[in-house]
Amino acid sequence: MTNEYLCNVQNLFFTYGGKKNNPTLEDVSLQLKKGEILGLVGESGSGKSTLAKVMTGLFKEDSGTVECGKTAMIFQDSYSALNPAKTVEWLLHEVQRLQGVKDKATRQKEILKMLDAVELEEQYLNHYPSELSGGQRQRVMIAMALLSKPEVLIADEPVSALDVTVQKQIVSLLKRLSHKRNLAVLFISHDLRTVYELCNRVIVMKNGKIVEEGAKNALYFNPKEEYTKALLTSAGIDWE
Amino acid sequence: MLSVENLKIEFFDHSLPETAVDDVTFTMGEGEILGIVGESGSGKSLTALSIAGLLNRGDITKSGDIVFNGLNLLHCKRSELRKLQGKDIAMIFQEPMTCLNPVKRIGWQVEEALRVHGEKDKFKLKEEAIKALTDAGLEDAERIYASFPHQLSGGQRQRVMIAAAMISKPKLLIADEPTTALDVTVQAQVIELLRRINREKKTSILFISHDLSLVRQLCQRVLVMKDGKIVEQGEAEDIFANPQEEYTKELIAAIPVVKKPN
Ligand SMILES: Nc1ncnc2c1ncn2[C@@H]1O[C@H](COP(=O)(O)OP(=O)(O)OP(=O)(O)O)[C@@H](O)[C@H]1O
Ligand SMILES: Nc1ncnc2c1ncn2[C@@H]1O[C@H](COP(=O)(O)OP(=O)(O)OP(=O)(O)O)[C@@H](O)[C@H]1O
Ligand SMILES: [Mg+2]
Ligand SMILES: [Mg+2]
Repeated sequence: MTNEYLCNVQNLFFTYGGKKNNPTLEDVSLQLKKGEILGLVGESGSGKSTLAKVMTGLFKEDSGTVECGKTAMIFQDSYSALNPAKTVEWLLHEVQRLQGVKDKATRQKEILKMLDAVELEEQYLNHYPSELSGGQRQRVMIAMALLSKPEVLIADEPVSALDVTVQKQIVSLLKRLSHKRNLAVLFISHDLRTVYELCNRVIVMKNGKIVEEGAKNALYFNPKEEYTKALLTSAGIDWE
Repeated sequence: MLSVENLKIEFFDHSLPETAVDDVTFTMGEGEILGIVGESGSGKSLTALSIAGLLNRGDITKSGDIVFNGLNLLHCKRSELRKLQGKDIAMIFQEPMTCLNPVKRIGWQVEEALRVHGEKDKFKLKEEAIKALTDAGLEDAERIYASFPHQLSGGQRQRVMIAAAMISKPKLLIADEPTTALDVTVQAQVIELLRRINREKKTSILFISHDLSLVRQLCQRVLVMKDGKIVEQGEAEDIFANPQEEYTKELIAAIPVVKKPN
């Protein structure tokens, strides 16, 4: 991998078993630089989550290449992604144990800092995932992903269950981390306003393909593709 | 049609009891669309679940009254409640994966409410299910019908939930974050669908969402919740144009603005 890119995806093809003539991902290429926040938007069912899962190695590509630095992922479905038998505290210690942080006090300190950053109160540490609201679970996922100190964060709808004031806080946290720690972020979202607020560059997907890509202002105010225009219009964004 | 009075929900599964919903009171008329917005963890889903009669656990105490068309749902017999569930009152859940059965095909699950309430004709069931899936904006309804939940995208699962809830043409539809996993074009379709059943079938809708602009478009009245309590309620237009509470003001101010740079 060149130094420039933390993540380099080239000509990726992927198909779920049994649908060979209709690939789920078709010739997808994208790059992520250090400190860059790339937005990924597009039709429901267009392959965004699949792309994220292939990039993190959860599924193996049929052809093409995927090279990514140390990656953490926030899953779209926080409920099925969290171990239901463990408390929030255990989960947050475990990610750090896996990083080799042996000292319990050090881990605890990091946890408290992180809870503060994601605006989750300490009282939830002894809750099980089923005892949290949707937005609280989502914040546990974000905390876990960030505690693993990744170079690349792939975040699949990470703020969709959060009220806008907490969303705003998470957005500024991600911005800060991308500046300070050079964290690269692939931010998958249906919320075009939040994507605009957060991202430098944006990719639009439809039917397994990238249909348009550009710097955020170019894409939002000079869209080329009909689908991009339709998305912006539905979101009530005045792009003309 | 629905009146919730002094609803209080407490948990006793930790060392200290936690009050998750505190003295919530509101009413809903027939054919009304009521929005609930508010802080994450403020008790919106718990309020919704208790109206749907789905919060029955030993470590929870509920008090107050929830009266639906003359029947007190908090104090009535289980069998009376079951007669309403899925038929007169249907719910779209915030997290589809938690309530879709992973080992059953989608079609079977969408038909569930009709089957439970006595429909046996297989062709009729399938016809209704395909129609409900199509109405929910799923173009390849036949494939979805034959799929398992894990084979669908987040937004497809969400629309499956919508179809499963709508199939029985409920009098009250509780929709907990029904559009968060949908792209904006599909979102617009789903909102249109909700409006249509509201208009044509007089279905009342309790619409819980973080998306304030959707709430503003769809709902006549809005409740704002924080820390288990209703902090503000009123006509949607009034609340958005002229919020009284600090928290409501913060919510409205936090919506990101997309503006063409000069
Ligand atoms: N395990 C699976 N087996 C077969 N098909 C699948 C599987 N998972 C997803 N699909 C299909 O692949 C397509 C892409 O799904 P994916 O989850 O990547 O979409 P998405 O862009 O993330 O959509 P959303 O915005 O709704 O989350 C969809 O048509 C979906 O039905
Ligand atoms: N089993 C439980 N034990 C203790 N507390 C619980 C339990 N289940 C839920 N809670 C708490 O009840 C509160 C209300 O949860 P609820 O799911 O109603 O929130 P919400 O308003 O829907 O939030 P969100 O917008 O994040 O979905 C939360 O603080 C949650 O942690
Ligand atoms: Mg997805
Ligand atoms: Mg909720």
